[in-house]
Order: sequence, then C-alpha cells, then structure tokens
Amino acid sequence: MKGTAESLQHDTTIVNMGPQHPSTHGVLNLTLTLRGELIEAARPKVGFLHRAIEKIAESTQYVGFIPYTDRVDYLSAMFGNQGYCMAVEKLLGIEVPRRAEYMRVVACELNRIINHLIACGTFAMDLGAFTPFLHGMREREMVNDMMEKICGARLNYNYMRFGGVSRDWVPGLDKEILAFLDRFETFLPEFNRLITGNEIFVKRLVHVVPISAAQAIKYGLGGPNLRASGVDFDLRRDYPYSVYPEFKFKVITGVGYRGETGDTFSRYMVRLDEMVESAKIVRQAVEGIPEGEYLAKVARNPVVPAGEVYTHVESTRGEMGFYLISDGTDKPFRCKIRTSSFCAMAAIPEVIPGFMVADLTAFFGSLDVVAPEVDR
Amino acid sequence: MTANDILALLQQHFPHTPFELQQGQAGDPWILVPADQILPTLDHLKSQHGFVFLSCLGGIDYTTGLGVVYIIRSLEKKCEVTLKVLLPYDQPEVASAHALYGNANFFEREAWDLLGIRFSGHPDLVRIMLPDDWEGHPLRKDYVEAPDYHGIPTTRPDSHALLTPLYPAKPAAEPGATPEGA
Repeated sequence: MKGTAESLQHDTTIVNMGPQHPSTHGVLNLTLTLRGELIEAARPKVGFLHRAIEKIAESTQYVGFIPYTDRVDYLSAMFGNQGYCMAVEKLLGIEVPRRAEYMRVVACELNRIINHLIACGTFAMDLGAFTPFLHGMREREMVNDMMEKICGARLNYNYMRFGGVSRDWVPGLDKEILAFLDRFETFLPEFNRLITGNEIFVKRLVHVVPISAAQAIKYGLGGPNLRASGVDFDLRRDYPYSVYPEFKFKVITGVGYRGETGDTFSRYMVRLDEMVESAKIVRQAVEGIPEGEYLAKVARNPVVPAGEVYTHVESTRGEMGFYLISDGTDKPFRCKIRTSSFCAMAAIPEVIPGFMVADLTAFFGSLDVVAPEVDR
Repeated sequence: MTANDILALLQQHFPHTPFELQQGQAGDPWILVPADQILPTLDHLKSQHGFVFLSCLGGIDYTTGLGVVYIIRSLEKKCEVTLKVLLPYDQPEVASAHALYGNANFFEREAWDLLGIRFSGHPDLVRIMLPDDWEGHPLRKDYVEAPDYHGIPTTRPDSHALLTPLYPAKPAAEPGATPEGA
C-alpha cells in the first residue's frame, strides 16, 4: 500500500508546522498528525522564545523590571507596563493621580487599536490578501508617531511608573489624537469594503474551528477569543480598574454574523468592533482629562512591603496577570506572569482535529497569538 | 464574595480539613489548603459555586519549601479566590487539576519545568519552556546554571576579552610614569 490513493486514506503523516513558518506569527511549532488534508491531532510545542523573564525579575530592582514587561507582549507593551505597575502600586499602597490614570487609559486604548490593526492585517495576509495589512500599517504608523510623543518610543514603550507615567503630554497632543480618531472613523468602513465583505474571505472563515463558550472557559481563553465565543466578560467592566468605570463603552461579544458564534470569522469581527469601542474610550478620555500631577511622589527604588498580590488587566489578547510576591526588599521574590496566548495554545489540541491544514492557518491567525507572550 | 466568605463555605463543606486564611503585610489574602485536599476543594468550588475559570496557576520556591498557587474565578459572581498549597522539597507532588481546568495542563507543565513540582495524574508532564535534556529547574532559588549547554556557553564572554584583539596592545607603562589621564 505505498503511494496509492487508498493508502492516503488509511495512513497518517506527521508534519512539522514551524518553528519557522510565516503563519505561526513567531517561533513556535505545531506537530500535526494528518490523514490526507485532515488534521487528526495537533501538538503545540512552545518555548523557542523563552527568555526567562520571570527569572530576570528576581534579580532586578522593582523599577528596573518595567522595561522587561514591554517584552512579554511586544505588540501591546502598555498592558504589561500597566499590569506590573498596578501590582507594585497595590503592594505599596500608592494612589495614582487621576490625570495619570487618564493618560494610561489613552495610551492603552491607542495600543489596543494598533494591536488589532496588526492582528486583522496579518490575519488577512495569512489568507492571501496583502493590501489590508498595508492599510492597517499605514494607520498604525500615525499612532506610532503619537506614541513617540507620548513616551518617546514606538514599540517597547516603558511608559508607566509606580504612581503614574514617565512624562506629561506635550502641548497639542490632544488635538492630534482627536484628529486621528476622526480619520479612524472613515478608515474602518474602508477596511470593511476592502476585505471584510469579500466573499472569498468570508467563505474561508465561517464555520471554521468554532470554539464553544464552554471550551473557551475551560481553557481560560481571554479577550476577543473568549468574547467571540459568546462569553460576556471583560476585565475593564467586570473587575473595574484604573478609571474605566468613568467611560461609556460596549463589551463586544461574538454574534456569528455569517456563520456561528465562536467561529474564526466571529473572532475577526470582535476585533474590528473592539477598535471602534477603544476609539470611543480614547475620545472620552482625551476630552475629559483633568489637570494635575502625572506622577505621584514615590521613592525611585521603592522597598516593597512583604506580601502577595495578583493584578490583571484586559490586554489586547485577554487577561494579563502578574502574581507578584515581595519579601520586603527592593527586588521581587517571584513574579509569575499569566498570559492569554499561553492558554490559547493549550486549547489547540482539543479544537483543531477534524479540520484541514488550510483551516489551521486561518484559525491560528484568528487566535492572534504572539509567540513571545506564550514563552515569556 | 471575599476570601473570608469562601473560607466559610469551604469549612462548612469540609469540616475536618484545616483551611487557613493568610495574608502578608500588604496585598491579597489567600487560602492555604492541605496539599492532599486541593483537588476536592477545587472540584467543590467549581461545581457548587461556579468557579469555572482558572485564571492562573504557578509554582513558587519559598526557600522553606515549594508552593503552588491557584487563582480561580467565578464569571457570574465576578469574584476570584487564591488557593495555595505548600509542598516539601523532598516530595514536591500534588494532584493535577487538568481534568477540571483545561489550561492547567500547560500551567502544570510550566511549573514542573521551571520549579520541579510533580503533578500526579498529569497526562503529559514533560518540559515546556526548556529543552527536554535541560538539567535542573531554573526558578528554584538554589539553582546554579551549568557553564555551558551542548558546548554553547551560558554566560557572556568578558567584553574586554572580546575587544582587545581589535586594538593594538598598549605598551607597558614605564615605571614611575604618571598614569594616563591622571
């Protein structure tokens, strides 16, 4: 039975997808057991980008670890900053000035917009459409310029400090952000005309690898992946932190526009709609930002009282948590970082069997996994 | 629901198990659970009180022993609770929670890989972050890194040793001469 059509039906092939593969968005490996084109089993192999960030935390002073939190998820570095700073602030008992909280929210939500632009752009690129990616990058470039004015960096922001942010806004930044938001309102309809309504695109995504609400909860998926499955959960609303309760925004859940709730198209649509909501939050925050301090008076190298704390923020990929243990010195005793991409990898073996290799590419793009966040 | 309420619920259902509510000088409280009771406790909280979401599972080396922290969440009640077990160094073993929470599978592999905590009943307890032939568990406080891994040095070479060949060697200073820049 060698090489016949019959053998293809009865034999399985083991194929390594990655570590170097354009659609794995970073260095990770999926060992696929295939029967013809059908996936029978998938085993994710991660760890290629393990940089021992949790070990580094134990030998770095508290303030010195902030830049490392950028590198956990380099596409949404603000959230690593915020989650870590919130953990240390909770242990220190610091109150963050309201102006600083507003500035944090503006920075985070701008970060969410540009992350989702990349997510949707690369997703379309995985499926063979190159132009949407360039349109997304064009808009992102404008936000990058603003980020440069906000914090001096375009990717690894290192913006937040214990008790606030690193610097005040430059004059005129609020007008620039509002001008971008006006422009952004016209961008999304254009993006939708370009790709979202494309029938080939839609047909490749609907009913592909649906994740039920029960599965999403079982595997602890986060953010858009969780909400696309119909779970109405958002840390910004359900565990209010920072000044999010002061803003009006909708929590987007998947409704299954063309296919079913929780399928690949649903995850894509949740990201698109979330950008609109983030833009609303940014507008409210920029218009309502109070005057005042941007940084509370905190010792530069604080000695943190002994204790344990868990803080989480709604990162672009879902819950990003910091379990921080202090032993009363100026260095963390242990810093466990919980990321949603890691949990998404655990879910793949259960949901993918029965689908085709081409579906895996679409599915994996819709999970919006960032490999450095998986491996830390 | 606070940690106190959940402790009361647990004590009501498991009257003979010595749960303990603890807290540091600052931060969140946690419930210390006897290591052999963690699985029934998680099962009870999940099935009876809606703690269906495992938010975080991580291992810790406390230098007096090892520990595992479970942070579980109820999506309906919008509350979460931290459970902790402590394990001795000579037998760092606790029951695996993979049947209750799907993502515990990966979290437990990570805790095994980096801290050497064994999870009995885990279907596939192999290293996840580090190569399969790595020796030791790096997040242990007494971990000493091997000087090399398959011939690749694990420490950075001395930067001066790298630079010297690029510049001509300085002539030895004559005795009695003032050092440069003095």
